[in-house]
Amino acid sequence: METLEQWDSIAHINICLAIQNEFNVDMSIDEISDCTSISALAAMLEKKRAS
Amino acid sequence: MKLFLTGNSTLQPLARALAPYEVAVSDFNDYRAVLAGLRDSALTDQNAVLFLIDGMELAAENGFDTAATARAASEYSDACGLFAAAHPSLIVIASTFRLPSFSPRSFGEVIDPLGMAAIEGEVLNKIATASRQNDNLYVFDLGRLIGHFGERAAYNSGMRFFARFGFSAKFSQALTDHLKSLLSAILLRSKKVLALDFDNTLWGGVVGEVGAHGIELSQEGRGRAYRQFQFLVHQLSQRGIILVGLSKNNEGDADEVFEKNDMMVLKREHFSQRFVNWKEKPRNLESAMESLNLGLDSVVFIDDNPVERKLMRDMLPDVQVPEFPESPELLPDWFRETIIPQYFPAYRLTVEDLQKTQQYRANADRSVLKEKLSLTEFVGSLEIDLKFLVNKADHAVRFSQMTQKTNQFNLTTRRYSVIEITSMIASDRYDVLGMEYSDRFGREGIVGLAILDGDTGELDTFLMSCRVIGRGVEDELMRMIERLAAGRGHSELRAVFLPTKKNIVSKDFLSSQGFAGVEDDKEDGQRYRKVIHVETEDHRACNARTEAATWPSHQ
Repeated sequence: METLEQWDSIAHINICLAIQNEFNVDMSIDEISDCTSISALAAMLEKKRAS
Repeated sequence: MKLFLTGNSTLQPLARALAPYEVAVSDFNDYRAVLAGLRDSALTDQNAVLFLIDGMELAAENGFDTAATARAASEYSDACGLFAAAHPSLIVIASTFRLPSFSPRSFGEVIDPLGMAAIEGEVLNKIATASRQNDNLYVFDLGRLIGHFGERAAYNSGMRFFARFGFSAKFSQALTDHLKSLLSAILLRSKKVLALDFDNTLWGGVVGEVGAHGIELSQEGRGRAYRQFQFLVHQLSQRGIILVGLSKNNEGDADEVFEKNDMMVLKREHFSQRFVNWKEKPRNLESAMESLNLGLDSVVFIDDNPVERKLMRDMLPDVQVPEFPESPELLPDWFRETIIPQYFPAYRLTVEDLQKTQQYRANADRSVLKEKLSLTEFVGSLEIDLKFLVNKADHAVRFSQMTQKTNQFNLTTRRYSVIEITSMIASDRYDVLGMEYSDRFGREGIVGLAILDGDTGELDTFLMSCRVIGRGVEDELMRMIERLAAGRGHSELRAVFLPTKKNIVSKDFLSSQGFAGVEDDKEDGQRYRKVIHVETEDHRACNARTEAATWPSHQ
C-alpha cells in the first residue's frame, strides 16, 4: 500500500480504523506501524484470530 | 452546509463519517489560534465551527497536573463564549470533554476543587451558560457521551500514540452519529408526529384477548419496561411532539385501558388523534395527517408488528418506520438512545413547541364547533385576538424556526437562521412582522410571519402556520404589512410566489388579496403587485418600529 500514490498518513489511519471496526479488534502501536501492506494486514489478522 | 473542525488531536478520520456535511479540518492542535480569532480568514465561507476537545490529550499535554489542566480548561471554556459572540453569523459548537477517570492524585481527586471532576463540571457550566446567552453557540456534550459509551471503550491507545487520534473506531462512529443528530437539532430537522401502535407497543399483550387489566403494564418486570416507555413518550409529547394512536382493536377495548387501567401514563388527551378500528393503518394515518395539516414526511411510526411496519413502508414511503427492539425490556433505552436523537433531535425549544399538544387539542375542539356553524359564524364565534410584533428581536428564534419549518402556506420558502433574522430586525431596511394568535379556546402563540424589504417595497417572506388558516387572519397579516409598506412611502406592494412541491395551497393567495400578476421574464416564480392606500394616522402607528400593535378582529 505504501507504493500507492494516494497513500498518506491519513489513509493509513483510516485503514487501521476501518479494520478495527470491521474485525472488532484492537491494534497495538506496533501493529499499526507495521500495517503498510495487504500481506502484513492479513498476517496480523490471522495472528489475532489464532490467539 | 460547511463545517470547520478544530481541536487538540488528529481529526481527519472523523471528517469522512460526517458526510453529507462538507468538512474542513484545521491544522493539528490549532484550536487556541481559532478561538483567538487568528484563523478567521479560513472561516469566511464556513457555516459552522466545531471545537472538539479530547480530555485525555488535554490532561497529557499538561503533564497530568490538575492545576495546569484546570487553567487550560478554563481558558478554553471562557474563549468559547467570547468566540461565539464575536462571530454571530457562525454556528459555533463547543464540546465538553472527559478527563481521565484515574489520575496520580488517586481517590482524593474527587474532593480536590481543582480535580478532574471539578474541572469537567466547571467547563460544562461555563459553556452551557454561554450557550444560553448566545443563540449561535451550542454545547456538544462529548464528556457525557464518553461516559455513556465507557471511557475504556471510547479511547484507543494504539491509535492515540501512533497518530494522536485517541478515539476507538466504534466510538468514532458513535461520536459522528451523535454530532450529526446535534446538527439536525440545530437545523430544526425534528419530526413532528409520533404515531404509535397500542398492543405490544404501549403495553404487553393484546387487550382484546386479556382485557384492560390483563395487559402487561405495571411496576414490575416487563410491565415496568412498557410503563417507562410510556413515561418517555409522554415527556416527548410535553416537548411538543404530536401523538397519534393507530391500533387494530375494538374501540371499546382500547378505551377501557385508557379509562380503567391506572398504570397507564398516557391518557386520551395526550393523543391529538386516535384511530382504533380495523382499517389499514396507512389509511388511518393519512387521514390523521390531513386533519393535522402536516406532511407524511413528518411522521415516525412505531409498531412491534413487522407486517404492519412493512405495510406502512410500502404504502407510505415518506413515513419513517424504525425497526422495533427484540424484547420489551429494551424499549425504554432504545427509545431514548436511538429514536429521540435520530428522529426528534432538539436543542432550543420555543414556547410554541411546549404548548403544541395543547394547541392541537384546542384545534380539535374548534373543529367540533366548526361543524355546527357556518364558516362566517364560526370565525366570528372564535373571538380571535391578534397581536402584531414589529421588529421584535426577542422572538428571533421563533421567527427563524417558522421560516425553517413552514412549507405549505409559505409564498417564498426562504429559510433564515436566527442570526439572519436578528440582523434583518436590526437593519433599517427590513420590517419583520410577527403575528400572535389567541382565541376563546387558547393561545396559539406566534403563527404568522411577514418580512418586508423596505427599500424595494417587496414582500420577502409571507407565511402562516397551517393551524390557523381559514380564519381570515392571513388577511389581517397582509393588511398590516401593507400599512408598514405605505408607512415607508410605497404606493405599491410587490410580491412573488415561488412554487415548491409543498406550497401549492398558497398559490392563489396573492390574487385573492387583490394582487395583480405581472408579466415577467424571470422563470423562478410568479410576480405580483398591488396598489396600496393607507390613511395617515396608520402611518404613524406603524412607523413606531418597536411598538407592538394589538388588532382585535372579527368582533
